Amino acid sequence: MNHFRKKGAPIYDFDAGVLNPATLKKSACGIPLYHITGNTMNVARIDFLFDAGAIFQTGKLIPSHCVSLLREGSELHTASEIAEILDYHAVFTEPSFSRNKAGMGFYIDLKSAATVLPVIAAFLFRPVFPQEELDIFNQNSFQRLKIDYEKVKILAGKSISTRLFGAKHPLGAEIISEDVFGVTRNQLTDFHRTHYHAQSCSIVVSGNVGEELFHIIDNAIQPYIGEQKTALIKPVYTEETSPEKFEYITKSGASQAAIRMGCLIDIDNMPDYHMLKVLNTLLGGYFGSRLMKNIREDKGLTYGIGSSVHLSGDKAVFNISAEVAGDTWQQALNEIDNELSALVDKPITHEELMLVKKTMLGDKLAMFDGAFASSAALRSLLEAGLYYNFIEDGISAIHKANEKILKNIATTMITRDKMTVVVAGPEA
Amino acid sequence: MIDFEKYHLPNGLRVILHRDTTTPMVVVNVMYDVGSRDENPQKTGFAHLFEHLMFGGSLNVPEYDRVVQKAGGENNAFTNNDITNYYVSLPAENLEAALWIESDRMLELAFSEKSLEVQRNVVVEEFNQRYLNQPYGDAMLLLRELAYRVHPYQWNTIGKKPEHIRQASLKEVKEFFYSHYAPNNAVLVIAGNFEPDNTHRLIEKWFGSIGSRDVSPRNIVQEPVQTEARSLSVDRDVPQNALYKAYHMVNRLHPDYYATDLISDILSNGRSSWFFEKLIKEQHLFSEVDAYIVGSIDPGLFIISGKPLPDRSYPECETAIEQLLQRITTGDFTDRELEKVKNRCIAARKLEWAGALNKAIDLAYFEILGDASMMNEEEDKYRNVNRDQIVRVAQSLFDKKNCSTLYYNKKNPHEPLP
Repeated sequence: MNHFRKKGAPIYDFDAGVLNPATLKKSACGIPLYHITGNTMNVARIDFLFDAGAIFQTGKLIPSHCVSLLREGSELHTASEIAEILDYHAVFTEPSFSRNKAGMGFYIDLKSAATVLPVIAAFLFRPVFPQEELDIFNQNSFQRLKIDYEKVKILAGKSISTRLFGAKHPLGAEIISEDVFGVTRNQLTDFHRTHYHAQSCSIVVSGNVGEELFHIIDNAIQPYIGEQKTALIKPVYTEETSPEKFEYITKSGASQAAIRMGCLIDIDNMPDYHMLKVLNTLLGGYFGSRLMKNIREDKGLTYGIGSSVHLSGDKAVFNISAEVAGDTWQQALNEIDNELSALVDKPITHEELMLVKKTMLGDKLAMFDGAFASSAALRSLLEAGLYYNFIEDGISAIHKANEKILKNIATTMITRDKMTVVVAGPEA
Repeated sequence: MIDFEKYHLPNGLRVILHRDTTTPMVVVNVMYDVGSRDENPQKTGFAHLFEHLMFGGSLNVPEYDRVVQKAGGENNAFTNNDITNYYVSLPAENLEAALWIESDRMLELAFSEKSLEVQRNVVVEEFNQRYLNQPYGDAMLLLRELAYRVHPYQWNTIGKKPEHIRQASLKEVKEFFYSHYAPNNAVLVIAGNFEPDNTHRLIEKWFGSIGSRDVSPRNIVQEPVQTEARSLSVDRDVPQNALYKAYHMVNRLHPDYYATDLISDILSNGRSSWFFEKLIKEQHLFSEVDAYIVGSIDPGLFIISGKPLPDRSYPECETAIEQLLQRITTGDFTDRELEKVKNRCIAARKLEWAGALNKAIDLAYFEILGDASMMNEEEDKYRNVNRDQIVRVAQSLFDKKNCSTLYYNKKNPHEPLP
């Protein structure tokens, strides 16, 4: 008999922390450039991020349309020429769009950098938004939107955003066909002129690169960096959470119901936010979480349930989501309610908290697994206007968390009465 | 070039080690040579259901996930038509914990009737969530059934229908384990930051004592050549028509596999691809259209799928697709176009291998195919494809008799059928 099997393998503590942080330099044009080193087989990832995310909205869909249409033609090249050059040199492009930042990331083989970066810089800084390309984009976006609105998770997700942020807020606005077709070239050109320039830009380069690449980047963007732009005006949007706390959306013929539950939380200090992250992980942030254990692994009601929390300006957005059989949403919702109450009522054992902490520390370690992962970690910090100390503080909070602190967070931040619930599912 | 060390344990387990000291992590990947093609047609979805049960506890490890969490790791698994793969990625210090739990569930499972009951429900909800309650979610289920009459690729990994999963019994599930889960039917890959000598010793300690088993011999009837075009038309509650075409293609080890893959790239990989340029941007026929291969171990499918814009008919869309296919079968493409898709294809593979996990999965997969070292030959195989080969492969691939077409119609109002 293998007695060693019963005993198992030793499990060791491990260090988590910021590994291989970026070096910050200024490009010759004055744009902050973050460099993360790492062996990436002669490929670099270069991200251009602009203060041009959803929160800068000057009209519905304009920021997201703007970043999506950058590649559709510049003062130097047509959309087709851009596509041909980037594809031939095997450049992989990832547009990004979030609350604060919009931009594009490019995987570039170093030997092609001098050829492709001038093409890229031209469409990032001098796009022309041809009318015909805009028309095609609108038509196809509209078709995608119609398909999306057939999905219960999208119906519930959009509705809860509207209820939490309000219909006038960029993160809560409902999108209808008039909005899609209402975006004009002039709006895009204006938005681009005021939001895509040296003062609103930062660059993240990851990979095994040297000064030569930085020169190539400088040379590529230099022609577009000239006159000082007017200071960026950030429209002020206030969240207007609806007092109605429950909605059932009927989706005829659906076999499942999507549940969304969430709230906005005022964040007065970052230490509380870091503790909220720990509490969220315990509740629904990992495979062994209470929601997963109860609703999937014990009751078998869902393929997956999770909770999340992220920063949105001076607030945190808390969200629980699951899809369940059409006739079990009420049962699932009751179990979610029970788990929210249990955050206050049920003991958090040493064992449970230890697993949460180890899982979170492992995640932090994985955030820096390689240059491209480290780049993603830095970009998410920059998106929220944060830097590496935020991760260090998060790690300290994980170590410090205990039952008393977490129960206090549960009592003050994510009680059931604060929650808005939206369910989208079949006819009752 | 991915360097690795390979050896066998006496029980038949194939072991592959790829060391990368630049990462603080290590990946332990176990791939079993069993997928949904090994299922009984009356009991489909078993391989995948079984994957769920592998997390329900083994002889000495009541809670698999708990150990992974305690070790600061993350884990997951996936099943496809050919293989079932399990991985753990964790801080390098805790390599041995992963070897312990992976070896224990290879040794003997210990899940309960309750665990089976719960996972049956979970998988049925997965079936709903991913296939039945999504617009167009059942399209691939229908297309497979249309294209394959005999071969078990006619069903998706999730199974033919939820009833098959609901009926799975504990006895059947246990039989499945002993006939497919065995060291001599698996590949263990360790990739990442580890110390080789100690790792050899740990592998021997945890996996060496598991006995080899009689694995069910694989006896799959291969799909006969399709001799006439097939089509199916279904009406669904979706906002837009969709069109799917499946052509039988070669198996994964066939030398023409690479040309077939590059043909799909000429058609639809990237924004300069023909489908994007011609069908979406110039001719305004589709809101989205794609060509890709299902590169399975037995002969797979070359698939074209698209959603015609509301005012476009199936015949005009199909004619436009045909014209582009014909350009390939007549050699009407430039050398630069061929070079471009090769560049993209090779670069994409390199990027995929930037992380230890993907390298580990690919090493295991190529070993299941026959030899992990084939992974390092992929670039040359793509590079060496020439124009004549593309034309020859396209001519046999795009024979109309080889095609199965699914018309997925928007209900209310019904579109005129072709």
